[in-house]
Amino acid sequence: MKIYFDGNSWTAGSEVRGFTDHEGQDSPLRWSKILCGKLGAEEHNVAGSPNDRIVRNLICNYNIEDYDLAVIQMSTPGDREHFVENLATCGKTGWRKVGVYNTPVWRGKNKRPNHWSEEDHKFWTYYYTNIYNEEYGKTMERVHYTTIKNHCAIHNVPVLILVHQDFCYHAEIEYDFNLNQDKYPRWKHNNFPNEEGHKMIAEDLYALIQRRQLLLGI
Amino acid sequence: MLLFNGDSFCWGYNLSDRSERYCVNYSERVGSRFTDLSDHGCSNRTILRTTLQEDITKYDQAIICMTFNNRTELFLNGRWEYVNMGRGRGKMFEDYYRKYYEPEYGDTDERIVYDCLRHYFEARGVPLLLGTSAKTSKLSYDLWINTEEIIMGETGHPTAVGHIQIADKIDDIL
Repeated sequence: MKIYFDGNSWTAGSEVRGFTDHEGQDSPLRWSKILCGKLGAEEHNVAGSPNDRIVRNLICNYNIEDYDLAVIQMSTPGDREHFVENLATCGKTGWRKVGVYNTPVWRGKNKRPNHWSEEDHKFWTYYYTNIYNEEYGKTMERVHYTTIKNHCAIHNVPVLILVHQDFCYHAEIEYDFNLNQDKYPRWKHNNFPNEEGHKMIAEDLYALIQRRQLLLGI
Repeated sequence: MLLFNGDSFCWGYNLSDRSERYCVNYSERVGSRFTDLSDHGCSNRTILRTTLQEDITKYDQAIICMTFNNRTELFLNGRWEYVNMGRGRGKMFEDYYRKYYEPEYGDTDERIVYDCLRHYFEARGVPLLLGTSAKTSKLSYDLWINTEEIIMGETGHPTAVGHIQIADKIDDIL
């Protein structure tokens, strides 16, 4: 049995001990790993934000029919990604994620990610100050949600769509599970769930999978 | 009942009488009512957004033609703003196209919209004829409407005769 996970850092488990990267490396203390241990399943966790990337992974990079269950956490609707040829500072070609947290709108006036040029910094600061807005984010959240749901349905793979409630706009979308529940203990310095929090999330998701009978024999 | 969506080709840009556009022509041939969600200058993201906003279960057939994959859209000052290379005589979004747009992005965006549309209709049991007004694509479409034999006007859009030719193509396939 194999389970596909995607989402942002809350699903990557980037704040727990043993975390290595966003490509599904072993992190025995993150909730996806604990959940798979309980289910006797193989974990494939590709989490790394944003929703654009989650949908691209699902449609272009992985075959969802290789999995028995998909557990996908929607990320912040304002985050996005774009494709960069020869990124100025390192010459790399590839997808780059962008979020309001990369700009002074979030980080303060003179801070910017190390790999960003001054021009990039200005462009995305302008974007998050003048172009991006709630209506756009809200629409994209709906489009991404519908895409994930339909893609899994057509391929007959059960899916749980998770959310961090503070990240979403749509109260009317019936997400299957909220990761941001007060009962989950957090790290004080960054408000992410701590190791106990990850354990509790895994237990609650296990119960949900049982209740909905999403996997045979569970 | 038929559902149409698409860009300026579907909208009938450059026709002196928009009732000559292929949606009207084809709907009259088969004696069906229709809804046309198309708009000129729009992007595949627009086509996906407006289609997802529609209750598609009331339709017997959808005919959607996607557009050039380098286009996108933004919500600005209370309305959806279309981003394409022609806006403002090529000046309006020059910065974006010069510095931030890459063909890999456009190809990926097209693939995502393509799959999303196909799955959206399949999941609801509504037949979809999916085409494109782009000249080339890496994807396989049911219908190509920007081909050599379609008669185009000065702006590169189908003439009234071109629209009849497109309606013929749809007729042949369906």
